[in-house]
Amino acid sequence: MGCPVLIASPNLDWSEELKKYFSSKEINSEIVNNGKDCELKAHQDKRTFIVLDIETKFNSSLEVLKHLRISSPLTKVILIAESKTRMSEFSLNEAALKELGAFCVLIRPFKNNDLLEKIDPILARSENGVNMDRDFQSFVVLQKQLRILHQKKGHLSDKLKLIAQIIELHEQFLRDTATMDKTINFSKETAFLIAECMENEKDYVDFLKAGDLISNSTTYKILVFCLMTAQCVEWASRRTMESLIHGILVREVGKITENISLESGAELNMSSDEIASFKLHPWKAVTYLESFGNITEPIKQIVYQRYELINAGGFPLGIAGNRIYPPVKILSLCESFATFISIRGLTPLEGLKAFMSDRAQLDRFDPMVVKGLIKSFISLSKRLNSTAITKEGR
Amino acid sequence: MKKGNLLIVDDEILLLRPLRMLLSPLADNVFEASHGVGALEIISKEIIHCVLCDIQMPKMTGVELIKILREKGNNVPFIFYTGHGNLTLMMEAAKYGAFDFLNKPSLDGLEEVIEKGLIIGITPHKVETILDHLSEYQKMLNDIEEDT
Repeated sequence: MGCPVLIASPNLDWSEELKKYFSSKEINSEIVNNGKDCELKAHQDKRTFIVLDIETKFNSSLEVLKHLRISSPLTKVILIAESKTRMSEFSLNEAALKELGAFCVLIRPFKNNDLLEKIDPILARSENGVNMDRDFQSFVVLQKQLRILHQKKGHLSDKLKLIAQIIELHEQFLRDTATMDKTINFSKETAFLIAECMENEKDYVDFLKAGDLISNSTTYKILVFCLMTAQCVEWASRRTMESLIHGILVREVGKITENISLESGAELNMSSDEIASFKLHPWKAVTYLESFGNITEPIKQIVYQRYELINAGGFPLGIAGNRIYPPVKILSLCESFATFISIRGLTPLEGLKAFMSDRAQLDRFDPMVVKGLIKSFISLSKRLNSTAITKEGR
Repeated sequence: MKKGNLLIVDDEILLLRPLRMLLSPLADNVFEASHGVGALEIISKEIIHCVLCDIQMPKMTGVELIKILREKGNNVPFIFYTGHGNLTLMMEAAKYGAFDFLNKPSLDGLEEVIEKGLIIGITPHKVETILDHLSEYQKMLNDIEEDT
Protein backbone atom coordinates (compact mmCIF):
# COMPACT_ATOMS: atom_id res chain seq x y z
CA MET A 1 0.00 0.00 0.00
CA GLY A 2 1.39 3.43 -0.95
CA CYS A 3 0.56 5.57 2.03
CA PRO A 4 -1.19 3.65 4.76
CA VAL A 5 -1.20 6.36 7.46
CA LEU A 6 -2.82 9.80 7.45
CA ILE A 7 -2.01 12.28 10.23
CA ALA A 8 -4.66 14.92 10.92
CA SER A 9 -3.81 17.64 13.42
CA PRO A 10 -3.81 21.46 13.59
CA ASN A 11 -0.40 21.15 15.28
CA LEU A 12 1.85 21.01 12.21
CA ASP A 13 5.11 20.75 14.17
CA TRP A 14 3.86 17.66 15.94
CA SER A 15 2.57 16.19 12.66
CA GLU A 16 5.92 16.76 10.92
CA GLU A 17 7.79 15.16 13.82
CA LEU A 18 5.49 12.14 13.75
CA LYS A 19 5.82 11.84 9.96
CA LYS A 20 9.63 11.79 10.36
CA TYR A 21 9.36 9.14 13.03
CA PHE A 22 7.13 6.95 10.85
CA SER A 23 9.50 7.48 7.97
CA SER A 24 12.41 6.22 10.13
CA LYS A 25 10.33 3.06 10.62
CA GLU A 26 9.70 2.79 6.87
CA ILE A 27 6.03 3.69 7.19
CA ASN A 28 4.74 6.23 4.67
CA SER A 29 2.42 8.88 6.01
CA GLU A 30 0.72 12.06 4.86
CA ILE A 31 -0.32 15.16 6.78
CA VAL A 32 -3.50 17.24 6.76
CA ASN A 33 -4.36 20.06 9.16
CA ASN A 34 -8.17 20.10 9.05
CA GLY A 35 -11.09 17.73 9.13
CA LYS A 36 -12.40 18.38 5.61
CA ASP A 37 -9.04 17.49 4.02
CA CYS A 38 -8.85 14.45 6.25
CA GLU A 39 -12.21 13.17 4.95
CA LEU A 40 -11.23 13.98 1.37
CA LYS A 41 -7.85 12.20 1.55
CA ALA A 42 -9.43 9.20 3.26
CA HIS A 43 -11.97 9.01 0.48
CA GLN A 44 -9.42 9.39 -2.34
CA ASP A 45 -7.06 6.73 -1.06
CA LYS A 46 -8.14 4.14 1.50
CA ARG A 47 -5.94 4.34 4.60
CA THR A 48 -5.22 1.61 7.09
CA PHE A 49 -4.81 4.17 9.89
CA ILE A 50 -5.74 7.76 10.54
CA VAL A 51 -4.03 9.44 13.48
CA LEU A 52 -6.62 12.06 14.35
CA ASP A 53 -5.94 14.85 16.82
CA ILE A 54 -9.09 15.52 18.83
CA GLU A 55 -8.38 19.26 18.38
CA THR A 56 -8.84 18.99 14.60
CA LYS A 57 -11.33 21.52 13.25
CA PHE A 58 -13.22 22.27 9.99
CA ASN A 59 -14.69 19.54 10.26
CA SER A 60 -14.26 18.68 13.91
CA SER A 61 -12.57 15.45 14.95
CA LEU A 62 -15.92 14.00 16.04
CA GLU A 63 -17.55 14.85 12.71
CA VAL A 64 -14.61 13.23 10.93
CA LEU A 65 -14.91 10.16 13.13
CA LYS A 66 -18.62 9.78 12.35
CA HIS A 67 -17.98 10.36 8.65
CA LEU A 68 -15.23 7.74 8.49
CA ARG A 69 -17.33 5.19 10.34
CA ILE A 70 -19.76 5.26 7.45
CA SER A 71 -17.54 6.05 4.47
CA SER A 72 -14.42 4.05 5.41
CA PRO A 73 -15.43 1.54 8.07
CA LEU A 74 -12.24 -0.45 7.66
CA THR A 75 -9.95 2.48 8.36
CA LYS A 76 -8.76 2.44 11.95
CA VAL A 77 -8.84 5.83 13.66
CA ILE A 78 -6.41 6.52 16.51
CA LEU A 79 -7.62 9.55 18.42
CA ILE A 80 -5.02 11.73 20.12
CA ALA A 81 -6.16 13.83 23.06
CA GLU A 82 -4.21 16.56 24.84
CA SER A 83 -5.26 15.38 28.31
CA LYS A 84 -8.06 13.60 30.13
CA THR A 85 -9.39 17.00 31.20
CA ARG A 86 -9.54 18.14 27.59
CA MET A 87 -11.36 14.95 26.67
CA SER A 88 -13.95 15.52 29.38
CA GLU A 89 -14.56 18.99 27.94
CA PHE A 90 -15.91 17.14 24.91
CA SER A 91 -18.19 15.27 27.36
CA LEU A 92 -16.72 12.03 26.08
CA ASN A 93 -14.76 9.25 27.67
CA GLU A 94 -12.65 6.61 25.94
CA ALA A 95 -15.51 4.07 25.78
CA ALA A 96 -17.83 6.59 24.15
CA LEU A 97 -15.18 7.52 21.59
CA LYS A 98 -14.66 3.86 20.74
CA GLU A 99 -18.40 3.52 20.31
CA LEU A 100 -18.24 6.39 17.83
CA GLY A 101 -15.71 4.40 15.84
CA ALA A 102 -12.29 5.16 17.33
CA PHE A 103 -9.91 2.21 17.18
CA CYS A 104 -8.09 3.49 20.29
CA VAL A 105 -7.44 6.70 22.18
CA LEU A 106 -3.98 7.94 23.20
CA ILE A 107 -3.60 10.72 25.73
CA ARG A 108 -0.58 12.98 25.70
CA PRO A 109 2.12 12.64 26.81
CA PHE A 110 2.87 9.35 25.07
CA LYS A 111 5.91 8.03 23.27
CA ASN A 112 5.88 7.63 19.51
CA ASN A 113 6.67 4.01 20.19
CA ASP A 114 3.28 3.61 21.93
CA LEU A 115 1.63 4.69 18.71
CA LEU A 116 3.81 2.39 16.66
CA GLU A 117 2.80 -0.57 18.82
CA LYS A 118 -0.83 0.03 17.85
CA ILE A 119 -0.08 0.42 14.17
CA ASP A 120 2.72 -1.97 13.44
CA PRO A 121 1.06 -5.39 13.86
CA ILE A 122 -1.85 -4.44 11.60
CA LEU A 123 0.38 -2.84 8.96
CA ALA A 124 2.65 -5.89 9.00
CA ARG A 125 -0.39 -8.08 8.36
CA SER A 126 -1.52 -5.88 5.49
CA GLU A 127 1.83 -5.69 3.81
CA ASN A 128 3.36 -9.09 4.54
CA GLY A 129 0.32 -11.30 5.15
CA VAL A 130 -1.23 -10.47 1.82
CA ASN A 131 0.75 -9.44 -1.18
CA MET A 132 -2.16 -8.44 -3.37
CA ASP A 133 -0.66 -8.98 -6.77
CA ARG A 134 1.16 -12.19 -5.94
CA ASP A 135 -1.61 -13.79 -3.91
CA PHE A 136 -4.46 -12.76 -6.18
CA GLN A 137 -2.50 -14.41 -8.93
CA SER A 138 -2.52 -17.66 -6.95
CA PHE A 139 -6.28 -17.22 -6.50
CA VAL A 140 -6.70 -17.02 -10.26
CA VAL A 141 -4.47 -20.05 -10.78
CA LEU A 142 -6.50 -22.13 -8.32
CA GLN A 143 -9.71 -21.13 -10.07
CA LYS A 144 -8.25 -22.16 -13.40
CA GLN A 145 -7.20 -25.53 -11.96
CA LEU A 146 -10.70 -26.09 -10.62
CA ARG A 147 -12.23 -25.23 -13.99
CA ILE A 148 -9.91 -27.68 -15.79
CA LEU A 149 -10.56 -30.41 -13.23
CA HIS A 150 -14.29 -29.93 -13.70
CA GLN A 151 -13.99 -30.10 -17.49
CA LYS A 152 -12.03 -33.34 -17.16
CA LYS A 153 -14.73 -34.69 -14.86
CA GLY A 154 -12.33 -34.88 -11.94
CA HIS A 155 -13.08 -36.69 -8.71
CA LEU A 156 -15.22 -35.01 -6.05
CA SER A 157 -12.44 -35.09 -3.41
CA ASP A 158 -9.98 -33.42 -5.78
CA LYS A 159 -12.48 -30.69 -6.58
CA LEU A 160 -13.13 -30.14 -2.88
CA LYS A 161 -9.38 -29.90 -2.21
CA LEU A 162 -9.15 -27.04 -4.67
CA ILE A 163 -12.34 -25.45 -3.37
CA ALA A 164 -10.92 -25.64 0.17
CA GLN A 165 -7.78 -23.80 -0.96
CA ILE A 166 -9.83 -21.17 -2.78
CA ILE A 167 -12.03 -20.63 0.29
CA GLU A 168 -9.03 -20.37 2.63
CA LEU A 169 -7.42 -17.79 0.39
CA HIS A 170 -10.72 -15.96 0.03
CA GLU A 171 -11.08 -15.79 3.83
CA GLN A 172 -7.53 -14.50 4.21
CA PHE A 173 -8.12 -11.75 1.63
CA LEU A 174 -11.50 -10.82 3.06
CA ARG A 175 -10.08 -10.26 6.54
CA ASP A 176 -7.47 -7.86 5.26
CA THR A 177 -8.35 -4.22 4.85
CA ALA A 178 -6.07 -3.94 1.84
CA THR A 179 -7.81 -6.69 -0.13
CA MET A 180 -11.31 -6.87 1.30
CA ASP A 181 -13.13 -4.86 -1.36
CA LYS A 182 -11.34 -6.60 -4.21
CA THR A 183 -12.24 -9.97 -2.68
CA ILE A 184 -15.91 -9.01 -2.37
CA ASN A 185 -15.91 -8.00 -6.03
CA PHE A 186 -14.30 -11.31 -6.92
CA SER A 187 -16.75 -13.38 -4.84
CA LYS A 188 -19.47 -13.53 -7.54
CA GLU A 189 -17.07 -15.18 -9.96
CA THR A 190 -15.90 -17.58 -7.27
CA ALA A 191 -19.48 -18.51 -6.36
CA PHE A 192 -20.39 -19.05 -10.01
CA LEU A 193 -17.39 -21.33 -10.57
CA ILE A 194 -18.01 -23.43 -7.46
CA ALA A 195 -21.72 -23.78 -8.30
CA GLU A 196 -20.86 -24.83 -11.83
CA CYS A 197 -18.34 -27.42 -10.68
CA MET A 198 -20.53 -28.86 -7.94
CA GLU A 199 -23.95 -28.70 -9.62
CA ASN A 200 -23.97 -32.35 -10.62
CA GLU A 201 -22.16 -33.79 -7.63
CA LYS A 202 -24.92 -35.65 -5.87
CA ASP A 203 -23.16 -38.42 -3.97
CA TYR A 204 -20.91 -37.41 -1.07
CA VAL A 205 -20.89 -40.75 0.75
CA ASP A 206 -17.36 -41.88 -0.17
CA PHE A 207 -16.04 -38.46 0.70
CA LEU A 208 -17.86 -38.52 4.05
CA LYS A 209 -16.68 -42.06 4.81
CA ALA A 210 -13.09 -40.86 4.59
CA GLY A 211 -13.94 -38.73 7.64
CA ASP A 212 -11.49 -36.03 6.62
CA LEU A 213 -13.19 -32.85 5.48
CA ILE A 214 -9.89 -31.63 3.92
CA SER A 215 -9.94 -28.20 5.56
CA ASN A 216 -10.70 -26.86 9.01
CA SER A 217 -12.06 -23.62 7.62
CA THR A 218 -15.61 -23.16 8.96
CA THR A 219 -16.62 -21.34 5.79
CA TYR A 220 -15.52 -24.34 3.74
CA LYS A 221 -17.41 -26.75 6.00
CA ILE A 222 -20.58 -24.66 5.80
CA LEU A 223 -20.22 -24.51 2.04
CA VAL A 224 -19.84 -28.30 1.71
CA PHE A 225 -22.87 -29.00 3.93
CA CYS A 226 -24.94 -26.41 2.06
CA LEU A 227 -24.03 -27.94 -1.28
CA MET A 228 -24.89 -31.41 -0.01
CA THR A 229 -28.20 -30.28 1.49
CA ALA A 230 -29.24 -28.18 -1.50
CA GLN A 231 -28.87 -31.29 -3.68
CA CYS A 232 -31.47 -33.02 -1.53
CA VAL A 233 -34.00 -30.25 -1.11
CA GLU A 234 -36.64 -30.22 -3.85
CA TRP A 235 -36.98 -26.47 -4.26
CA ALA A 236 -33.26 -25.70 -4.36
CA SER A 237 -32.02 -24.98 -7.89
CA ARG A 238 -28.69 -24.01 -9.44
CA ARG A 239 -29.64 -20.39 -8.76
CA THR A 240 -30.21 -21.23 -5.09
CA MET A 241 -26.80 -22.92 -4.91
CA GLU A 242 -25.04 -20.00 -6.51
CA SER A 243 -26.74 -17.47 -4.24
CA LEU A 244 -25.98 -19.60 -1.20
CA ILE A 245 -22.29 -19.92 -2.07
CA HIS A 246 -22.05 -16.21 -2.76
CA GLY A 247 -23.80 -15.43 0.53
CA ILE A 248 -21.52 -17.80 2.44
CA LEU A 249 -18.43 -16.12 0.96
CA VAL A 250 -19.40 -12.61 2.07
CA ARG A 251 -21.45 -13.39 5.19
CA GLU A 252 -18.77 -12.33 7.68
CA VAL A 253 -18.26 -8.83 6.27
CA GLY A 254 -20.23 -7.24 9.13
CA LYS A 255 -18.10 -8.98 11.74
CA ILE A 256 -14.92 -7.90 9.98
CA THR A 257 -15.91 -4.25 9.69
CA GLU A 258 -17.06 -4.23 13.32
CA ASN A 259 -13.97 -6.05 14.65
CA ILE A 260 -16.05 -8.95 16.01
CA SER A 261 -14.33 -12.30 16.53
CA LEU A 262 -14.72 -14.69 13.60
CA GLU A 263 -14.21 -17.74 15.75
CA SER A 264 -17.02 -20.33 15.50
CA GLY A 265 -19.45 -19.93 18.37
CA ALA A 266 -17.59 -16.90 19.80
CA GLU A 267 -20.98 -15.34 20.60
CA LEU A 268 -21.64 -18.12 23.11
CA ASN A 269 -19.17 -16.50 25.51
CA MET A 270 -20.20 -12.88 24.99
CA SER A 271 -21.64 -10.55 27.61
CA SER A 272 -25.14 -9.16 27.07
CA ASP A 273 -23.66 -5.85 25.82
CA GLU A 274 -21.43 -7.68 23.37
CA ILE A 275 -24.38 -9.79 22.19
CA ALA A 276 -26.41 -6.63 21.54
CA SER A 277 -23.60 -5.30 19.38
CA PHE A 278 -23.10 -8.71 17.75
CA LYS A 279 -26.74 -8.77 16.65
CA LEU A 280 -26.18 -5.63 14.60
CA HIS A 281 -23.52 -7.15 12.39
CA PRO A 282 -25.87 -8.57 9.69
CA TRP A 283 -27.19 -5.03 9.12
CA LYS A 284 -23.65 -3.62 9.07
CA ALA A 285 -22.75 -6.27 6.50
CA VAL A 286 -25.58 -5.44 4.07
CA THR A 287 -24.92 -1.73 4.48
CA TYR A 288 -21.31 -2.31 3.49
CA LEU A 289 -22.24 -4.67 0.65
CA GLU A 290 -24.75 -2.16 -0.77
CA SER A 291 -21.95 -0.29 -2.52
CA PHE A 292 -20.97 -3.37 -4.54
CA GLY A 293 -22.92 -3.55 -7.79
CA ASN A 294 -22.52 -7.31 -8.20
CA ILE A 295 -23.94 -8.18 -4.78
CA THR A 296 -27.55 -8.83 -5.71
CA GLU A 297 -30.61 -8.72 -3.49
CA PRO A 298 -30.76 -12.49 -2.79
CA ILE A 299 -27.16 -12.36 -1.50
CA LYS A 300 -27.93 -9.42 0.77
CA GLN A 301 -31.01 -11.22 2.11
CA ILE A 302 -28.97 -14.35 2.82
CA VAL A 303 -26.36 -12.31 4.70
CA TYR A 304 -29.02 -10.31 6.55
CA GLN A 305 -31.27 -13.22 7.56
CA ARG A 306 -28.71 -15.94 8.20
CA TYR A 307 -29.40 -16.06 11.96
CA GLU A 308 -33.17 -16.34 11.57
CA LEU A 309 -34.65 -19.55 12.95
CA ILE A 310 -37.86 -21.33 12.08
CA ASN A 311 -39.13 -21.02 15.71
CA ALA A 312 -38.76 -17.20 15.53
CA GLY A 313 -35.89 -17.37 18.02
CA GLY A 314 -33.36 -15.84 15.64
CA PHE A 315 -32.33 -12.30 14.80
CA PRO A 316 -32.29 -9.54 13.50
CA LEU A 317 -35.98 -9.86 12.55
CA GLY A 318 -37.14 -12.78 14.69
CA ILE A 319 -39.31 -14.02 11.81
CA ALA A 320 -40.62 -17.58 11.77
CA GLY A 321 -41.38 -20.42 9.40
CA ASN A 322 -42.23 -19.47 5.86
CA ARG A 323 -41.34 -15.81 6.37
CA ILE A 324 -37.67 -16.76 6.26
CA TYR A 325 -36.06 -16.48 2.83
CA PRO A 326 -35.82 -20.15 1.69
CA PRO A 327 -32.05 -20.35 0.99
CA VAL A 328 -31.44 -19.00 4.50
CA LYS A 329 -33.11 -22.11 5.91
CA ILE A 330 -30.34 -24.19 4.36
CA LEU A 331 -27.58 -21.85 5.51
CA SER A 332 -28.80 -21.50 9.10
CA LEU A 333 -28.98 -25.29 9.50
CA CYS A 334 -25.63 -25.96 7.85
CA GLU A 335 -23.88 -23.17 9.72
CA SER A 336 -25.15 -24.57 13.03
CA PHE A 337 -24.16 -28.06 12.03
CA ALA A 338 -20.66 -27.00 10.94
CA THR A 339 -20.19 -25.07 14.20
CA PHE A 340 -21.54 -28.04 16.16
CA ILE A 341 -19.01 -30.48 14.73
CA SER A 342 -16.14 -27.95 14.83
CA ILE A 343 -16.62 -27.18 18.52
CA ARG A 344 -16.86 -30.88 19.41
CA GLY A 345 -14.13 -32.06 17.06
CA LEU A 346 -16.47 -34.61 15.41
CA THR A 347 -16.41 -36.04 11.90
CA PRO A 348 -19.54 -35.17 9.87
CA LEU A 349 -20.96 -38.66 10.38
CA GLU A 350 -20.39 -38.64 14.13
CA GLY A 351 -21.67 -35.10 14.22
CA LEU A 352 -24.88 -35.90 12.36
CA LYS A 353 -25.89 -38.56 14.89
CA ALA A 354 -25.14 -36.28 17.82
CA PHE A 355 -26.87 -33.32 16.16
CA MET A 356 -29.98 -35.37 15.39
CA SER A 357 -30.29 -36.57 18.95
CA ASP A 358 -30.68 -33.00 20.20
CA ARG A 359 -34.40 -32.18 19.81
CA ALA A 360 -34.08 -28.63 21.11
CA GLN A 361 -31.49 -28.01 18.42
CA LEU A 362 -33.63 -29.48 15.64
CA ASP A 363 -36.74 -27.45 16.50
CA ARG A 364 -34.96 -24.35 15.23
CA PHE A 365 -34.76 -25.55 11.64
CA ASP A 366 -37.07 -26.30 8.73
CA PRO A 367 -38.00 -30.03 8.94
CA MET A 368 -37.67 -30.49 5.17
CA VAL A 369 -34.22 -28.94 5.14
CA VAL A 370 -33.16 -31.15 8.07
CA LYS A 371 -34.40 -34.06 5.98
CA GLY A 372 -32.27 -32.80 3.09
CA LEU A 373 -29.15 -32.71 5.25
CA ILE A 374 -29.66 -36.27 6.52
CA LYS A 375 -30.53 -37.50 3.03
CA SER A 376 -27.29 -36.09 1.65
CA PHE A 377 -25.38 -38.56 3.85
CA ILE A 378 -27.08 -41.50 2.07
CA SER A 379 -25.60 -42.87 -1.14
CA LEU A 380 -27.28 -41.74 -4.34
CA SER A 381 -28.16 -45.32 -5.39
CA LYS A 382 -29.93 -45.94 -2.10
CA ARG A 383 -31.74 -42.63 -2.35
CA LEU A 384 -32.93 -43.44 -5.88
CA ASN A 385 -34.05 -46.91 -4.78
CA SER A 386 -36.09 -45.58 -1.93
CA THR A 387 -37.70 -43.00 -4.23
CA ALA A 388 -38.57 -45.75 -6.71
CA ILE A 389 -40.05 -47.91 -3.94
CA THR A 390 -42.10 -44.98 -2.64
CA LYS A 391 -43.44 -44.28 -6.14
CA GLU A 392 -44.35 -47.98 -6.68
CA GLY A 393 -46.08 -48.02 -3.30
CA ARG A 394 -48.26 -45.16 -4.44
CA MET B 1 -52.57 -29.44 -14.44
CA LYS B 2 -53.30 -26.34 -12.42
CA LYS B 3 -50.61 -23.69 -12.73
CA GLY B 4 -52.13 -20.97 -10.57
CA ASN B 5 -52.88 -17.26 -10.98
CA LEU B 6 -50.17 -14.64 -11.12
CA LEU B 7 -50.47 -10.95 -10.29
CA ILE B 8 -47.89 -8.48 -11.59
CA VAL B 9 -47.71 -5.11 -9.82
CA ASP B 10 -45.60 -2.36 -11.38
CA ASP B 11 -46.10 1.35 -11.96
CA GLU B 12 -43.98 1.15 -15.12
CA ILE B 13 -46.78 0.37 -17.56
CA LEU B 14 -44.23 -0.25 -20.32
CA LEU B 15 -42.83 -3.15 -18.35
CA LEU B 16 -46.18 -4.77 -17.56
CA ARG B 17 -46.95 -5.88 -21.10
CA PRO B 18 -43.69 -7.71 -21.86
CA LEU B 19 -43.74 -9.28 -18.41
CA ARG B 20 -47.25 -10.52 -19.04
CA MET B 21 -46.24 -11.99 -22.41
CA LEU B 22 -43.20 -13.66 -20.94
CA LEU B 23 -44.97 -15.12 -17.94
CA SER B 24 -48.36 -16.06 -19.44
CA PRO B 25 -47.29 -19.61 -20.37
CA LEU B 26 -46.37 -20.25 -16.74
CA ALA B 27 -49.72 -19.33 -15.18
CA ASP B 28 -53.41 -20.05 -15.72
CA ASN B 29 -54.21 -16.35 -15.55
CA VAL B 30 -52.03 -13.28 -15.35
CA PHE B 31 -53.45 -10.14 -13.72
CA GLU B 32 -51.87 -6.70 -13.82
CA ALA B 33 -51.98 -3.72 -11.48
CA SER B 34 -50.10 -0.48 -11.89
CA HIS B 35 -50.25 0.38 -8.18
CA GLY B 36 -50.75 -1.19 -4.78
CA VAL B 37 -54.38 -0.12 -4.41
CA GLY B 38 -55.23 -1.78 -7.72
CA ALA B 39 -53.44 -4.90 -6.56
CA LEU B 40 -55.52 -5.03 -3.38
CA GLU B 41 -58.69 -4.74 -5.44
CA ILE B 42 -57.72 -7.63 -7.68
CA ILE B 43 -56.70 -9.77 -4.70
CA SER B 44 -60.08 -9.11 -3.08
CA LYS B 45 -61.87 -10.45 -6.17
CA GLU B 46 -59.57 -13.15 -7.52
CA ILE B 47 -57.63 -16.03 -6.03
CA ILE B 48 -53.99 -15.14 -6.55
CA HIS B 49 -51.27 -17.76 -6.05
CA CYS B 50 -48.19 -15.62 -6.56
CA VAL B 51 -47.41 -11.88 -6.73
CA LEU B 52 -44.55 -10.36 -8.70
CA CYS B 53 -44.13 -6.86 -7.36
CA ASP B 54 -41.92 -3.83 -7.85
CA ILE B 55 -40.73 -2.51 -4.51
CA GLN B 56 -40.62 1.22 -5.25
CA MET B 57 -43.96 2.57 -6.41
CA PRO B 58 -45.77 5.85 -5.81
CA LYS B 59 -48.74 5.94 -3.41
CA MET B 60 -48.07 2.49 -2.00
CA THR B 61 -44.71 0.71 -1.96
CA GLY B 62 -44.41 -3.02 -2.43
CA VAL B 63 -43.61 -3.31 1.28
CA GLU B 64 -46.82 -1.52 2.26
CA LEU B 65 -48.76 -3.86 -0.01
CA ILE B 66 -47.29 -7.05 1.47
CA LYS B 67 -47.74 -5.66 4.98
CA ILE B 68 -51.49 -5.09 4.41
CA LEU B 69 -51.91 -8.55 2.93
CA ARG B 70 -50.03 -10.26 5.76
CA GLU B 71 -52.09 -8.37 8.32
CA LYS B 72 -55.18 -9.80 6.62
CA GLY B 73 -53.68 -13.27 6.96
CA ASN B 74 -52.92 -13.61 3.24
CA ASN B 75 -49.65 -15.53 2.85
CA VAL B 76 -49.43 -15.51 -0.97
CA PRO B 77 -45.79 -15.89 -2.13
CA PHE B 78 -44.32 -12.48 -2.99
CA ILE B 79 -41.47 -12.01 -5.41
CA PHE B 80 -39.96 -8.54 -5.23
CA TYR B 81 -37.85 -6.91 -7.87
CA THR B 82 -35.85 -3.81 -7.42
CA GLY B 83 -33.11 -1.60 -8.75
CA HIS B 84 -30.07 -0.72 -6.70
CA GLY B 85 -30.36 1.55 -3.68
CA ASN B 86 -33.51 0.31 -1.96
CA LEU B 87 -31.69 -1.32 0.92
CA THR B 88 -33.98 -0.20 3.75
CA LEU B 89 -37.15 -1.12 1.84
CA MET B 90 -35.80 -4.53 0.85
CA MET B 91 -34.74 -5.37 4.38
CA GLU B 92 -38.17 -4.30 5.61
CA ALA B 93 -39.77 -6.48 2.95
CA ALA B 94 -37.96 -9.43 4.52
CA LYS B 95 -40.00 -8.96 7.71
CA TYR B 96 -43.18 -9.91 5.90
CA GLY B 97 -41.77 -13.02 4.28
CA ALA B 98 -40.78 -12.47 0.68
CA PHE B 99 -40.46 -15.68 -1.30
CA ASP B 100 -37.68 -14.35 -3.53
CA PHE B 101 -35.90 -11.26 -4.79
CA LEU B 102 -34.84 -10.26 -8.28
CA ASN B 103 -32.66 -7.42 -9.45
CA LYS B 104 -33.62 -4.92 -12.14
CA PRO B 105 -32.90 -4.58 -14.96
CA SER B 106 -31.75 -8.15 -15.66
CA LEU B 107 -34.49 -9.99 -13.71
CA ASP B 108 -32.18 -12.96 -13.93
CA GLY B 109 -33.97 -16.24 -13.12
CA LEU B 110 -37.44 -14.65 -13.39
CA GLU B 111 -39.26 -17.58 -14.97
CA GLU B 112 -37.76 -20.15 -12.63
CA VAL B 113 -38.68 -18.10 -9.58
CA ILE B 114 -42.25 -17.46 -10.81
CA GLU B 115 -42.79 -21.17 -11.50
CA LYS B 116 -41.68 -22.03 -7.99
CA GLY B 117 -43.70 -19.24 -6.45
CA LEU B 118 -46.83 -20.49 -8.20
CA ILE B 119 -46.19 -24.07 -7.07
CA ILE B 120 -45.84 -22.91 -3.47
CA GLY B 121 -48.97 -20.77 -3.90
CA ILE B 122 -51.19 -23.58 -5.14
CA THR B 123 -49.88 -26.15 -2.65
CA PRO B 124 -52.06 -26.25 0.45
CA HIS B 125 -50.05 -24.86 3.33
CA LYS B 126 -49.34 -27.40 6.04
CA VAL B 127 -47.38 -26.47 9.13
CA GLU B 128 -44.95 -29.28 9.77
CA THR B 129 -42.78 -29.73 12.79
CA ILE B 130 -39.73 -31.84 13.47
CA LEU B 131 -42.04 -34.18 15.41
CA ASP B 132 -43.88 -35.11 12.19
CA HIS B 133 -40.63 -36.31 10.69
CA LEU B 134 -38.75 -38.00 13.54
CA SER B 135 -39.51 -41.56 12.44
CA GLU B 136 -38.48 -40.75 8.87
CA TYR B 137 -35.24 -39.20 10.12
CA GLN B 138 -34.52 -42.32 12.15
CA LYS B 139 -35.08 -44.52 9.11
CA MET B 140 -32.67 -42.40 7.08
CA LEU B 141 -30.10 -42.51 9.87
CA ASN B 142 -30.37 -46.31 9.77
CA ASP B 143 -29.74 -46.19 6.02
CA ILE B 144 -26.62 -44.14 6.67
CA GLU B 145 -25.44 -46.74 9.22
CA GLU B 146 -25.88 -49.45 6.57
CA ASP B 147 -24.03 -47.37 3.97
CA THR B 148 -21.05 -46.90 6.22
